[in-house]
Amino acid sequence: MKFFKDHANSIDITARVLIALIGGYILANLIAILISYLPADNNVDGIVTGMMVSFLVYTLAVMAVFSTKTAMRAFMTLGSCCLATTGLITYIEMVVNS
Amino acid sequence: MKPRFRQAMNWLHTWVGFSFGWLLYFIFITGTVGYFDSEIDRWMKPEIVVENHVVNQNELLAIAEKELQIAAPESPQWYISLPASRTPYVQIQWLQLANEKTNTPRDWHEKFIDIKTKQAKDIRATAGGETLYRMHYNLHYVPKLVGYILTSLATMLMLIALITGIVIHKKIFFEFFTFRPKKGIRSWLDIHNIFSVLPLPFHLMITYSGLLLLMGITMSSVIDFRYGEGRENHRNFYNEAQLDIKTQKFIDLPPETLSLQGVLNDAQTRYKNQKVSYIGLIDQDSSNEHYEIWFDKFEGIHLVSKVAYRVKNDKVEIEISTGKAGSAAEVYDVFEHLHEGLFANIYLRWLYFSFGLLGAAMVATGMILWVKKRQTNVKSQRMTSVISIIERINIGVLVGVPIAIACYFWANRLLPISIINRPDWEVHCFFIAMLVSIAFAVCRSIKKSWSNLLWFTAFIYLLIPLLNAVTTQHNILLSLQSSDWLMLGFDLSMLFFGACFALAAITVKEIKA
Repeated sequence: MKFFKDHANSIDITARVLIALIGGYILANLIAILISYLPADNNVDGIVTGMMVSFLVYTLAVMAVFSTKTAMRAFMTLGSCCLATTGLITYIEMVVNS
Repeated sequence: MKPRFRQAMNWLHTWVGFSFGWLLYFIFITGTVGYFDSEIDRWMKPEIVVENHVVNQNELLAIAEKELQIAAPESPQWYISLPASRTPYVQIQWLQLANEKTNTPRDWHEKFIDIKTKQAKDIRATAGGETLYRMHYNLHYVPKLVGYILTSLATMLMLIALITGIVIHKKIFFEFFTFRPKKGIRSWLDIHNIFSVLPLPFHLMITYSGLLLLMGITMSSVIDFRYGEGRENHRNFYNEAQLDIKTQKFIDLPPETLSLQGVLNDAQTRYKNQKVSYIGLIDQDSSNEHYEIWFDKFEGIHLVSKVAYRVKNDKVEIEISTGKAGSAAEVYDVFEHLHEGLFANIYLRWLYFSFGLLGAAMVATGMILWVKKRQTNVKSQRMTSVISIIERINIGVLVGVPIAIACYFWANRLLPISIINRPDWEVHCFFIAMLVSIAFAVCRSIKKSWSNLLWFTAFIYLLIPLLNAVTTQHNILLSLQSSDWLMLGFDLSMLFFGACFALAAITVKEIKA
């Protein structure tokens, strides 16, 4: 346990970097997919919109990860966003397919 | 805003900016140089014969057509480029299909026509302006995909750095008008703010649009999930997303007169205010045979308008694109054109160029700031030496990229014409020069290496016009006489940049003294 105490700061930063890079990317992709279901001019235009917005999502996600009090809270926030989006996408897919 | 939030953003700004700083600097410089890719290309191909006088386009087309018939009678795609403001010469290009018998790959070929002798002219093998500008997103040596992902990641961090940079400024306009010279870190911070805030809309646009241009690769899982996986599906997606709205109409042109000349004549009379810059013949002697006319247009964000001619039901039909099929695609299109700046005339082009350099300067001052701040509160001996190494590499990169570009130009003139893989060697020279500058900066004392490297850069830029005069038949006076504006402009620009570097070298000396 001493190791964790001594390096608390570097562990916190490493965790945040990983959460931001990987979690931010996953969330950006999920939100892009979610946006692509919105009504659009044709069946590819929504996807283009989603992909264009995804970079803004990524930016905001990274900023959020580094502004929370602990890395754990950052993980929870991003994780719950990802879960909620995944849930919505699954629901939409079910409705669309049925 | 809570102070803790601003502090966190400050930290984020520092580290996202620092982590890819050198790559971003490289991207900014090589990308900025790309705004003059045609002009650089002309300089790197000094054998091209420039035609500035108004010549009968039909006559030029006839010569070009004859050359294409000799060079590539079976090619499915012919393009003929007629003299235009950025490319004042006749160029033919054709697509060579892959041939397994002779083991030739699918490739584009080009030749330049000497209008006086009415024949194609041999041009030295060179990587040219295009390779230089492509470096800013393919990084040349790495596989394409790796290059795209690395540059995208750097660009993503750049966008985060820009947004956090805006957030941490309480008084963005007040600070913009503040410059406190000769105050150490404070001065560096002020200058960093000026370089960032003045062209901030440009920085945001170029960064965000850069991300968009590669989104098909970086966000490909969205296409996988919503459209379909695999290469074929992705290609279909791009085709569908890029789809233009097209309008067709039949015109009174006898189908049997549909030829390169006939199409040019019709376009000249139909669109009197436009100048034809490119003519294409696609899929000759097939059911899909059609002609393309491209106009040299410098109005609005959209680069050129294209008119396609084809025979349909024994009548000639023309087809014009009037915009993108989707509104998101339209937005994407605008961003793409803004990023590439192909629509820009000479004045706007220089503005693009200066803003690009300001972007590079923003990254450079940011990197210097990072070093300076850490030097003021070092905790251990080990940290001091790490920071010192970073500071040295930093000098090597910041001055090394301009040196590398100059060496690229020098290599174009000095490498033997007959050397195998000449274009590759020009690029090798570019990167060797950069590595040597970094190595030099690492070995030399910090105080000396700034001024040594800057003086060296100043000299190699100032000598480029002389090099040009000695190794080719072009020099500043002759270019002026023969109104070869591109050659003249390039030589004069090199003198200007050389003078700038000399000025920088003098300034560095004064600060240190």
